[in-house]
Amino acid sequence: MAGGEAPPPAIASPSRCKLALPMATSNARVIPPAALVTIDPVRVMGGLNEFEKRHAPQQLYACGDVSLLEATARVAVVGSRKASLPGRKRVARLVGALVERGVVIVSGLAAGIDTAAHEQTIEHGGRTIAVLGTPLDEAHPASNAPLQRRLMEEHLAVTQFPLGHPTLRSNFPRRNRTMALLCHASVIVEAGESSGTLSQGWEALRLNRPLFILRSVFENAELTWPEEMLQYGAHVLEDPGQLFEALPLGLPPLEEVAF
Amino acid sequence: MLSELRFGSFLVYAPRGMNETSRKAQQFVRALKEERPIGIPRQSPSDYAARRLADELSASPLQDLFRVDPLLVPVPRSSLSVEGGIWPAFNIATALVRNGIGAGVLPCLTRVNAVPKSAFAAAGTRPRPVDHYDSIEGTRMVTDRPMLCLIDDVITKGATLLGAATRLQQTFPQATVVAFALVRTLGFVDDIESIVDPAVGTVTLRGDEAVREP
Repeated sequence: MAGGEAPPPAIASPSRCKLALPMATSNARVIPPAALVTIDPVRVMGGLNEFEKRHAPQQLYACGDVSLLEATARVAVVGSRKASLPGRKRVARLVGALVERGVVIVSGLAAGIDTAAHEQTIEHGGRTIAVLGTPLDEAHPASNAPLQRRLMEEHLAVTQFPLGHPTLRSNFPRRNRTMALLCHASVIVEAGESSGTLSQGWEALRLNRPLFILRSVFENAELTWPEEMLQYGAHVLEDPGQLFEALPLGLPPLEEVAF
Repeated sequence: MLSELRFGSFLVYAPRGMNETSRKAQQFVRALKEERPIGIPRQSPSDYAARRLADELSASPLQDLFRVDPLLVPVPRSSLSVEGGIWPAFNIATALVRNGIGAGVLPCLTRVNAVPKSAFAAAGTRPRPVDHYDSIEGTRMVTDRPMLCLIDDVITKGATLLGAATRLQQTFPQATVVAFALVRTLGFVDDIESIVDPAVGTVTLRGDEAVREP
């Protein structure tokens, strides 16, 4: 075998960082982490290709169990900040099925569907990663600060934004691109016509990663984006089994694939 | 529609296979679709496979397919393309040319309407050759090459290649059109013993369906 880049090293220690303060119950917006792990994104997916490098962040800052970035299967479960009750129930069912197969659930810790995805993962005894649109020491929305602390202690939070970076509106579509990059597949549970979630969907399609849209989304005749995304390669999710087929469950690592 | 198309393929995979080689092939196909680097050191799966083919071409049945240095025409994806997105067939075509196979890449076919992916579609709902033909447009470009070789990542029954080949032949009536898919699906085989299994065969139109041999 000639050419190519040297293999990325395994994600090095420290693989876990602790918060300076015990998990608080307050809604404080500012969360002071004790130690952050800086990660080269190349190490996360086992090497980025030219398409992925175009929009990949230079660094990821992490707090929590960094080994989750090496999990065999990671699925983003994302959707509207104004989640409907049926939407939350669908998240619970979907996450339950994924956790049962050992899939790590990734979401953006936004209000609504994202929060439900993290909470339901914890409820089902699974592992979850929050990809933040803020630096690690800030929570957005502030009401999610306790959940963010818990994820940093027991699961993982990552961000491309260094401490001190302002929380701008433009952070969130950039965050969504990063989330698509970190996941083997993405699922949109529900989203309006102008939802920020859609930027993640388009990024997954650009990367040729599987993108699933729940069947229920298509029942809203006012939405045009679901049909449009289908034209560009998204799939209608009828059953979690479709997702399992799209994930590298039980397959050898990429470094062993050359023949 | 063309009634017959000559095609070649270099690798095989069994989507439902369970042994180590089958699993490795399944992961390779996944990597190919996402252009995910493989092996140690990390390398593009398209480049890796193209280099392996170039190394083995002189003793391979595929030699005849590339003997006259055809222009390589990547088959459009089954869906519409996101700007700046990954196009596996184009990646394979450019990797082949980088490794001395083919005279150049001619991306002259475009998908104008999405069709269901063959690999995901249930039997009976898979797009037929005519569906691919109707959803692909060809752009006439100047070339003096007598042979054009369609390039795709995976061949299942051959409907995509037959539809695309018909459109390509219509766009370039004077040229001889052949096809190459890097990977040949073995849908009815439980397991494979080797990923490398070069073969040359035909895709034939039978009724409105494509039939691949081998």
